[in-house]
Amino acid sequence: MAITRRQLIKTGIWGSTGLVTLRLLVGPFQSTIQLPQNSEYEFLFLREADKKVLAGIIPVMLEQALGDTEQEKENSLHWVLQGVDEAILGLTPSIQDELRELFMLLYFAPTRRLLARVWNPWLEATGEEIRNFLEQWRNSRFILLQTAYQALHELITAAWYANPASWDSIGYDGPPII
Amino acid sequence: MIQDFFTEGIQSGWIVRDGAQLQEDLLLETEVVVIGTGAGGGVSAEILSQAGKEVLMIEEGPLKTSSDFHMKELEAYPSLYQESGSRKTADRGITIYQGRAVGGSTTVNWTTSFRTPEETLRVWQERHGLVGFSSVEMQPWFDLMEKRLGISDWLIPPNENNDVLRRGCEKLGIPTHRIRRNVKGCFNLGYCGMGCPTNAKQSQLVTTIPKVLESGGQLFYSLRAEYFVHDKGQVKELVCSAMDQRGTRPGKRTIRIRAKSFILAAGAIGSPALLLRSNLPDPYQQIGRRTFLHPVCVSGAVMPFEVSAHFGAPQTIYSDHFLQQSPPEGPIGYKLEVPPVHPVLAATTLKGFGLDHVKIMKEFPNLQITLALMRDGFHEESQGGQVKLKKDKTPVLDYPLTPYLWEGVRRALLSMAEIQFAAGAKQVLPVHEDSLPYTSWKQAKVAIEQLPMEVLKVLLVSAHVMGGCAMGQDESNSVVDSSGKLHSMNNVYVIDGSAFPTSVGANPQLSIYALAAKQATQLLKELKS
Ligand SMILES: Cc1cc2nc3c(=O)[nH]c(=O)nc-3n(C[C@H](O)[C@H](O)[C@H](O)COP(=O)(O)OP(=O)(O)OC[C@H]3O[C@@H](n4cnc5c(N)ncnc54)[C@H](O)[C@@H]3O)c2cc1C
Ligand code: SF4
Repeated sequence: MAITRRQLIKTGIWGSTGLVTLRLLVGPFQSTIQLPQNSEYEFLFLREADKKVLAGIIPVMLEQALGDTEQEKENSLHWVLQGVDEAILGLTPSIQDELRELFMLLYFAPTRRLLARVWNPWLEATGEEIRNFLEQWRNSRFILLQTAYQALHELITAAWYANPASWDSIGYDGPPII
Repeated sequence: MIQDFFTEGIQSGWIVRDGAQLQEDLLLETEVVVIGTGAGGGVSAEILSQAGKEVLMIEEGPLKTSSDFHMKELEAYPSLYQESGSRKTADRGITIYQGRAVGGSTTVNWTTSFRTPEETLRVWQERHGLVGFSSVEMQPWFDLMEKRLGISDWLIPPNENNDVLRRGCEKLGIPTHRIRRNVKGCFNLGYCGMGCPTNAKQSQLVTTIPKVLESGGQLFYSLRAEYFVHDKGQVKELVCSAMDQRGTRPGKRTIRIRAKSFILAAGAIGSPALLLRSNLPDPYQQIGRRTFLHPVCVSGAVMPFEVSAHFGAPQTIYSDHFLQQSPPEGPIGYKLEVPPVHPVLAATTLKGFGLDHVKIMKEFPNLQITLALMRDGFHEESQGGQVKLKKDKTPVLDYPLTPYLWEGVRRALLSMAEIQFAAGAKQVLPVHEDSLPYTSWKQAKVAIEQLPMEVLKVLLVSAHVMGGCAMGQDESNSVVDSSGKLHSMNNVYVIDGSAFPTSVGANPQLSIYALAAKQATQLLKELKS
């Protein structure tokens, strides 16, 4: 990656000062593309902005695992978003704060462009752009970016494969009946 | 329907309270408080209560019983594991699995039962000055606990996942052995890690804790022990926070408990954390030091036949061949075993994303996974990690990964790949961010020799946290004495896996049961005199 360690520190990923500034800067969230609304589940951690970030990343992380038709994919996306929300709620407060900051960095255009190299908002970015982002963070020399990639990998793959809807595709019959 | 006798017991009048339901602050008094209800806490509480002591057990996690165990990862990890199963070391290099529920890690453990290896006991006596820990002195305690918890030979044939390890080793002339288990009437389901739905696993949840409650002892769950209030070498009071409904944060209510004696059994990481929060005298800064993990590296194999590694008793075969090649003080040795493989565990363990990940997940039925558990804590360059407190006073383990360990990890990845190919694997996938699925032993060998051994690159996990309140007679390198008594306080005893001065070098539960039986019995004598 072309950014220097110094820039990274200044951006304040997981730093204490970055958080407040970002909160002010991110402001009201707007995007022309709307997320499908799931009426039943009430998200307690993920906000609209976080969901947009994830809705961009999830289909690239999981690819065809999400299903074949548009309808299937959309349903699966709901499940994964909900699963990620639930999983984060079970983490410690300090890890929740880190994830809050990570999602803000990924949403906020300047940091998204600088750190993730994704030019357009997540829902408009191409699969290729997002794949490159994941690959770069996965192999980054910066431990923090590697850690962030691994956190996304863990949250998203766990949320999907915890869901019975995914089991057929991997040949898992589910728990036995006793 | 399987009988849920814990719930029936509560209906029949056991004194069991839920911190999350608490409407007011409380001040309680009792003879003995046991903090933590896992391997150490359960056994200690039983021994004391059966001798007529008034015992109050405190548990931070929730109470879940057999009828709650639906064999679903989605439910099990958030409700039964520390940090939902994603606790990590400070640099995120190692994922740590620990239980967090009534019964502690025994509620979710895999029932594998080993006595403490002889050479480990030898090092504890020779190098750490422990008194009373020779194999002869420990023998009666192993006998006692094996009987109490139904530990016996497992006669049903191993599942395919275990048998691949056995066959691969056999081809290479590496000896393997059968694992003993603490079960009674086991259905051979393989879901021990999500709570046993049939009450077959003889965890603390179905053995010692019910016994304590039957004889009038009390249990308070969803209650986090925060710190001790002490004065002149004596702990006066334990201050606890009731947890909120979700159980991840302390709620509003505080409970103070006064007692004559305090048994600290919150497990490794948990026990030293409580001591650190209590600002106890610690002149040599030993609290939390020397915390060990048996760091585990992982090798996946795609077999040309169905393995169904999620099904059947999780661990039934092991090999100590690579532990026995050198003495504990030499290059790091490792024990080979296999894990149960369920979808979430597989998906989060297997590296890569997108199509690569989809492809390997499609092999789920044919996946065989082998584990190598490193014996840490016996060599100068293996001093373990240190428990520290975060700003919010919750613990984190800082465990530096040293070249000594990495050398062993590389050797272990090689051994496992060779064994998997010998058993007929089509592909072997050492779990590492840079590795590819390899199709021959020759190819894998060349690749593994080149893989960078670096934090975050290699997947490392641990389900065996030990140490942090090391036993020893010398205060400059220990926290408690050989009886478990805190050097700095007269009425606090650490009786759990945190008391070990090194790792065990074998799955630790039986070592902790025997330790607890021994220490609690001795404490009882002291309390009587
Ligand atoms: C998934 C898994 C599989 C395993 N499989 C095996 C196996 O097959 N064989 C084997 O030998 N070992 C196995 N182990 C390890 C073994 O179960 C543990 O080493 C053992 O249970 C540890 O005993 P302990 O008493 O030290 O702590 P634990 O059993 O972990 O109990 C500690 C308890 O204290 C509670 N606690 C922590 N802090 C506080 C606080 N501040 N206030 C109140 N309560 C607190 C925790 O919630 C927990 O319930 C496994 C562990 C896991 C996680
Ligand atoms: S394998 Fe046996 S002990 Fe484990 S969950 Fe199944 S019935 Fe219980």
